[in-house]
Amino acid sequence: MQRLFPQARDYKTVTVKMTDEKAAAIEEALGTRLDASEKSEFNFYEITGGPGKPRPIGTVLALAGKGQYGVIEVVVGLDGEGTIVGAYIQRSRERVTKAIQAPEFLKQFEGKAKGYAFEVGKDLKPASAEAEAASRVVAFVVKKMLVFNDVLHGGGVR
Amino acid sequence: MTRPGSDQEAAEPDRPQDSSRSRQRAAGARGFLRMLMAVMLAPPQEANGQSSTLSGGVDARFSHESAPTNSNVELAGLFLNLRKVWSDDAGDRWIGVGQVDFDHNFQDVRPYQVYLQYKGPLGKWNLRAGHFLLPFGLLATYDTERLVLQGLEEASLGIRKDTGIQALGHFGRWDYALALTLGVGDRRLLPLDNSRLLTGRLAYVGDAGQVGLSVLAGRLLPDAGDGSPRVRDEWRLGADATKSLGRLTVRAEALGGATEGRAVGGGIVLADYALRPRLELNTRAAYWREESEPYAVGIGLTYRPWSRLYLRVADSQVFGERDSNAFTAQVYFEFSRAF
Repeated sequence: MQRLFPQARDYKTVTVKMTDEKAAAIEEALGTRLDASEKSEFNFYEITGGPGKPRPIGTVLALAGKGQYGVIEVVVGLDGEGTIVGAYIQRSRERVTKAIQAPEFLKQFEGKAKGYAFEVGKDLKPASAEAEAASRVVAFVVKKMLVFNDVLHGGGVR
Repeated sequence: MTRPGSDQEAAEPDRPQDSSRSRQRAAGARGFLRMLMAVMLAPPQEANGQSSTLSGGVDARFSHESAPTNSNVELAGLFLNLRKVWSDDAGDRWIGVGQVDFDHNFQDVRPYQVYLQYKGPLGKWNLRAGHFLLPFGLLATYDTERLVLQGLEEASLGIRKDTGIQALGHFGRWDYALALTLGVGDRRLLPLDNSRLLTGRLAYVGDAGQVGLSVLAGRLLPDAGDGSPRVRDEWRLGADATKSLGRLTVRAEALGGATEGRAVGGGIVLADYALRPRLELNTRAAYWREESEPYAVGIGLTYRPWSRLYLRVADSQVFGERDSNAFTAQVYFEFSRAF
């Protein structure tokens, strides 16, 4: 958590159950169906910090996408407005893992929020020529998390 | 060396030989469940939020052994796990975990882990009390209970879980854990006046892996056995490492020490290689000096047709005084639901 929010003092797990309506709204926003495992519940990690009494300063989300050789697990931090403050790859078995973990690639996500395309070749460059497929997976997972945050978590820190 | 369906009682899983032990275990499980319900239903005073997750799994297996020749189909395990988190204004504060296992066609009913944990800010320090996995070696971060190719703990430590208290957490890139427990493992109900068991681990966690050093010392009652309580003095020092290299994940542990003054030692390497997104090759190579068949190798496949279903096959060969082979096929299903 402190990797994305160095000023964090603590975090709270918020589990939101998925309803059929919420799942449908997410699928419509993404233009694709959710995996069965994504339709039960989702965890948000509300980060608290600040001097004096702890107050919410952001949210951390984690989600996995399907890479060529297994899951690519992505973690993002969002500020109170739902803007990305940072992203990193928590787990990957791809041959191009080093490329998609590189700061030059992940920094592209910072400052973006819902409404951006999150498309490799449009508003994002691939991590490398060989990592184009994995880069698309990461970009889509980040976009998916922003949609989850919007639909399930009110779009920002409560 | 641990293997399914062994005819050597010293290495055989602790299965009830008579109905009184079954009743005793069932009574113990009921007692733990009552304690669990009390913990889960009585939130600490400062909690202002809570979340609960019920998860579980079904583990069905077919196994065939060569020496002696034996085939078996069973519901190896069914488990239910309840995890509850109470949070205050700042963050998650209390965590309650309770899991009960119904093993070997419901012949064994027992708690797996049942504990209450107080979590400090960002999890940098935590205090855990109850029945939990010991923080030693690979076991601290990789529980192979429901895998076909398993870790070495049953042979090398003699114990995997115990009852007591534990301090754990992290500072920077370092993870730490120190536990003081009773040393009776899963045999909590025996009227045994045992000394204490100390277990600890310190690990450095990098981006693609971690290395750890562990210690275990004290007097314990091994989990496996013929039912007669026989404590033993033992100490262990261990080193473990986990490394991800793209499609390959390698876990290794080397440890040594003494049991009743007798030097022991060995190690294990578990390597998994992703052949395809849903298909993985699993391998195991182990050596434990104390066993009559000290060498073991295993190879298997894990196929995951969908996110909650695992199909596994593995073949294990042990070498020593009497070589033998075991083949296992497993269907494993897991679920999780928040409420």
